[in-house]
Amino acid sequence: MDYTFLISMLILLAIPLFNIILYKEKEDYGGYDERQEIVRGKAFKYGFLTMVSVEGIMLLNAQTDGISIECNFLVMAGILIGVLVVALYCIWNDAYWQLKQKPMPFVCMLGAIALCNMFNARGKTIVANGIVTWDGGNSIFLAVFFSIILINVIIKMYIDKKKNQ
Amino acid sequence: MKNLKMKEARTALGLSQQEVADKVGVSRQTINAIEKGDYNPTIRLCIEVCKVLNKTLDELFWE
Repeated sequence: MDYTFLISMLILLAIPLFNIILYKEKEDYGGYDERQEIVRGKAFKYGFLTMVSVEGIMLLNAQTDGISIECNFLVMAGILIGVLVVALYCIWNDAYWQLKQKPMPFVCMLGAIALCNMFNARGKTIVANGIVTWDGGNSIFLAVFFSIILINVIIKMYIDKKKNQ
Repeated sequence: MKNLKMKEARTALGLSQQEVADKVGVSRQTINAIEKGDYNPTIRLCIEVCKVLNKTLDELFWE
């Protein structure tokens, strides 16, 4: 086992987590304002509908002669796609970050988690015996999931910075 | 519909959207959305905005 990588990733994860705890103790979180609460409510609705739709489509696919997917992966993929919809809707409607919240620790954490999963996905077989497996597919799926959120957060931060200038 | 009265009152006091947002306790994007007419604020938020901009509800939010 590559302990150097493991330790470095733990440190990478620990720094933003430490920051989060520090900010929380200082009561630096302002919560969400009323517009953000409404946006987040809509986001949860869309996320839930997406999750149900994806699960439905995947179950139909599993019942027919479509791509064979392991049950664990099927359930998890539906949930993660739903969560992704919630996250992206909130990001692009300015309801992802709380008031006074510093995004950088979270951006670092998202990057670290995406990297960890990319590293974990190396050399794993996604399709075994014609079935998309949980063991092979979860890491790459999570890496893509966190990368998409990270890229969207960075693009939105860049756009906001340009607008403010 | 754009809330030009609110924008005028804010600029007359020389305040930025961020400064108004900080005083009211909402995000800058929320103040921007109210001014652009993209968000219909609650009466509680309207009152907070009026207090910060030294205006009455009628002056800022009555058409």
